[in-house]
Amino acid sequence: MKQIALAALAAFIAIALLALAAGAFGHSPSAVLAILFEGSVGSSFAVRETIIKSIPLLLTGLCVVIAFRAGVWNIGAEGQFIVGGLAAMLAARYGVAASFLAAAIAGALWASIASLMRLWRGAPEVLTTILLNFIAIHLLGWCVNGPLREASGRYPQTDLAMATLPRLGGVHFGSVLALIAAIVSWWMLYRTTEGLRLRATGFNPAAAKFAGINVAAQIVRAMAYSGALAGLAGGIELLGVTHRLFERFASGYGYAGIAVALLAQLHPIAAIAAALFFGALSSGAGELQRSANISATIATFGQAVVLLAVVAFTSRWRKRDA
Amino acid sequence: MLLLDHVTRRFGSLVAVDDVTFAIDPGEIVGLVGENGAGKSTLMRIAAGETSADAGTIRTRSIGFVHQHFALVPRFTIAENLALRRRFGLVSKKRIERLAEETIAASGIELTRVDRLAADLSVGEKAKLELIKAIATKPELLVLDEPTSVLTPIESAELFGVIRRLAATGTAIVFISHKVPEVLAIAQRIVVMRRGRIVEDRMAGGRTAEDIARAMLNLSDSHAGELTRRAGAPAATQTLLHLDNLTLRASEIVAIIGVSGNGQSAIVEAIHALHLEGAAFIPEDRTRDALVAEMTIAENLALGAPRWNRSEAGTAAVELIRRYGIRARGPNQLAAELSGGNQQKVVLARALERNPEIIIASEPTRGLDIESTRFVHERLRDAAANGAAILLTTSDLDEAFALSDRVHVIYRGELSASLTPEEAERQAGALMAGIA
Amino acid sequence: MKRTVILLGLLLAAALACSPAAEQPQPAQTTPEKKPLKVGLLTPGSINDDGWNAIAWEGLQRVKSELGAEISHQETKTPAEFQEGFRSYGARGFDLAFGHGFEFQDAALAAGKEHPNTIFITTSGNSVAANVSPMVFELEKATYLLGIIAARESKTGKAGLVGGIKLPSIEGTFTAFKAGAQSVNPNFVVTAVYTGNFDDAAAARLATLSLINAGADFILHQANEAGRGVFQACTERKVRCFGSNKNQNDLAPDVIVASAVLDVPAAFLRMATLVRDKQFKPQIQYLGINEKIVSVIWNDRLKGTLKPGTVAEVEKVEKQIREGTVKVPRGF
Repeated sequence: MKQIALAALAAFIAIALLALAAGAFGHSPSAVLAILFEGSVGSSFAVRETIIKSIPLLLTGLCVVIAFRAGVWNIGAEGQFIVGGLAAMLAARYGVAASFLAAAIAGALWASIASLMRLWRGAPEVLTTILLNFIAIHLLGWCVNGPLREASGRYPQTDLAMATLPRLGGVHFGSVLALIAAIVSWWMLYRTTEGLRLRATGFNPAAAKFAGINVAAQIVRAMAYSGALAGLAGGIELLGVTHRLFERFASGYGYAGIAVALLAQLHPIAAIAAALFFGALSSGAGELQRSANISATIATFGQAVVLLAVVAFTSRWRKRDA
Repeated sequence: MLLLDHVTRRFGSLVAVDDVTFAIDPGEIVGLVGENGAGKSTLMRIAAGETSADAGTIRTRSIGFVHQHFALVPRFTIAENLALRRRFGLVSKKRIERLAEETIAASGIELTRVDRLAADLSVGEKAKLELIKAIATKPELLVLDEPTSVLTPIESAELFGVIRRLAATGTAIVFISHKVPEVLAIAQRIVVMRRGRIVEDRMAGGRTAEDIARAMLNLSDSHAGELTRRAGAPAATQTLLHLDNLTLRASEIVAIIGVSGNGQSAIVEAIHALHLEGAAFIPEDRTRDALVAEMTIAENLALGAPRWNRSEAGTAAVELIRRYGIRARGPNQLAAELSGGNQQKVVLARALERNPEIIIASEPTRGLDIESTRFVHERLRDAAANGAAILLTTSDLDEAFALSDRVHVIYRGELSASLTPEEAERQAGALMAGIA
Repeated sequence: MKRTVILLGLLLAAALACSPAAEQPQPAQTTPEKKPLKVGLLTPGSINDDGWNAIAWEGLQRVKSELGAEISHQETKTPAEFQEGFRSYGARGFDLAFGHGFEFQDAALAAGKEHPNTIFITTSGNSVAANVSPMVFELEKATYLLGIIAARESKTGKAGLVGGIKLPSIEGTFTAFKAGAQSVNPNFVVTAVYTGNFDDAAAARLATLSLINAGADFILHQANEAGRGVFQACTERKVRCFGSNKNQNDLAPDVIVASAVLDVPAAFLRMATLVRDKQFKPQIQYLGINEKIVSVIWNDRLKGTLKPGTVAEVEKVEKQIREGTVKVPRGF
């Protein structure tokens, strides 16, 4: 609880620093704050845009939460997001449900490459997941330039997906799915046998082993859950927002998920707030550019400051080291 | 010369060194013996200024310290490793190699070809290099921490020669070991430590390995009264596990005793690797291997259970906290916040409540007070009475003799034949010192 | 810990208090008497890239300085941001919003439906709606003319083409070049090589050398930054070549005969002018020679070395293209 309060404080401080930094470059800090507010939650339009951006952030954030909770350093949400999008595209002709199922399975399988390499050859998943990101990006590039290129052949992008997510009040249905995913993740982690074992494996694999938990199998399953969430994020983004694939389909949602998970202190419910925060920051930064011509770098800056503040204020890692 | 005067050092609640005063004469060779964790290394590290003391006075002497683990840079040559202790100056390969050869010659230790990489040296050569490094500073006192643990007998004999020559030139030597025979062979005076205190400090002449081992392990009759011996071995029943010459049968407690580090944990690991259904473990290192500090008591009690339901587990935890007398605020208190004894009760409760066929208990009472120790013993006896096969590895011999039906002594990874507790009590000292 | 929290809270409060909340930004409804044109731009990357995005920003600046327009820009990375940007411009009553790339088409169509009073224009693309159009640059009209120059001046009857990535727009310029050359000499041979990217100048140089070794004595590139390698190879081997996209005549003044120039900022200005004058019609906005967006610029130093009649011939065909009597194939 205290950790969450500290994370919230870190977020506030980051916003204040962001305004002050803008002040240092000749903009009025209060005006900057006003625009950030206006552009993120100041109108129903802004709220909708913030929510739409938060959906993939929440899902990739949950992906990272689950993996890190199990002590598996999955940095590969970006790649799992991409293969999820690819699978959803291919399965779209069979409908939305089939598309999401395919996306989740593809993400899980892609992530499993890393966990199996860890178990078989001891390859650290921090490395393998990042390398798998590059492979996924190039796989996508090849697909949209080659076999999946639009029928007219004109641009390196696919045709429109054959399924679309329904919308609810201007926001696609993925918002509901992402919320459900957060609640299910929480329930799984804190209310099921699987979650108990997963957390024990993450906190103390030696103790988990002596208590009779199959740590290796647990790691493989955690990585699969994690990858499934990122894959689902890709599928939802495809059918809800982009409706087609092109080379920059993922554009950093996977990495932003790490920021969401850390700000949320690896708690699935807190991840909802963290995703909304980063979504709002991004919308607010867009408005800052549009109406005050302040560079987009400010959003990146804000994200970095939040992370630094979170790491500085929370003692989770310090305690583990002692 | 006085080294340490009434020195105390605590690590949390553990008193590693308890009000110790230690002196040594120039040219004297002192054997410092004791169980692992008795405080030998800590004591000498305080003397060398490598760690601080909480109380007492430390006389600063120049000390050369050869650590148990090699402190060599593997990708550096012998010459470069020796050059590391120099502070400033430009480095030329030729110059440091010439200096290295001079240093080695001065030490009286034979080590050739200083351009070889440390990584390529044999273990014995690495030990020699460490020794040369330590001697090169011309210390008043040289401390050797378990120097023979990785050496062959011939290498050990060579090392002893070097030690004797050094002592003859006036260097005081502290030889830390838990191998009694070699301490007897080299030391003029033997200091025995147990639980942070010096319990014996006598000249080596006329002592036997067996009585030193007894002093190390507190193998006297003074504590026997605290433990009541198991009444009557059960009738031989079903064999549940057979591993080399170790056999576990239902309703029977088998103890493995020995100086720790002789292979007890390897046996526990081997049994764990069998993935036996119905086996429960009480690991030796509570905080590292048994409990998840960041999780609650209720969650720790449920770890490894086939099914977990939070509210049922909470109710069950309340009942276990009561039955095992765990002093806690409630089932949702974090395991990290419990005292060692209460943590052990959580581990015990988890292991016993699933009615396992086999229980592997490693040092189940280490660090516990008398009350908690008695409680753990009673629960283990109850479990055996209810049909469980129990394997107990312990360095507390009184515990082993009081609880077990049969005893094996372990020395350098080898298990002795199965002994009755009475036989074991007579032969243990000799078997554990490896002189039987 | 508690003290730190309080301290930081105070710091935050101070930061907020120091800045008077009164001076909020006033979006431009302040001058009702003469409503300025409002133009927004979305770029897929940073406008400091010295390339694709920078040139769009330059176009926006031209719109501001020449039409007195109120301008706004956003760097957008994700489709969610494309839509957010377009919708935001629509909601705030912008007259015109540019999306600089084909990837903005879907977002333009979606926002166009919701905001009928704003015109959405994408750079490249083929999606058209009542208030949505793509700008398509007809660089191929200039490369057709370059093809004529090559065929008239070549001694070997062979020319080489060096492309970056095999995109339809690039293939189109090559197709037109070949058509132009073969309008002069039906047996003229044109060989195209793609290096696979737009920044490896060394690869472009090697590709150029191989074309020269195979007999080509005129080279046209469509390799953006990597074009430098083409000019290096041509200078080394004294083989004539053409500049592309920008006026590159000064980059290798001894070998570049002419450049096919595309004036992107002028295209932005032209579209903004159409919208201001209520002349905008929803259609694919082909911008080429007629609109003075695309042109052939001669290198005056080499103009005199050409065969007599070449310059006149090129000017004649250019006029015919403008009048529509000569059709340049689009290739896609």
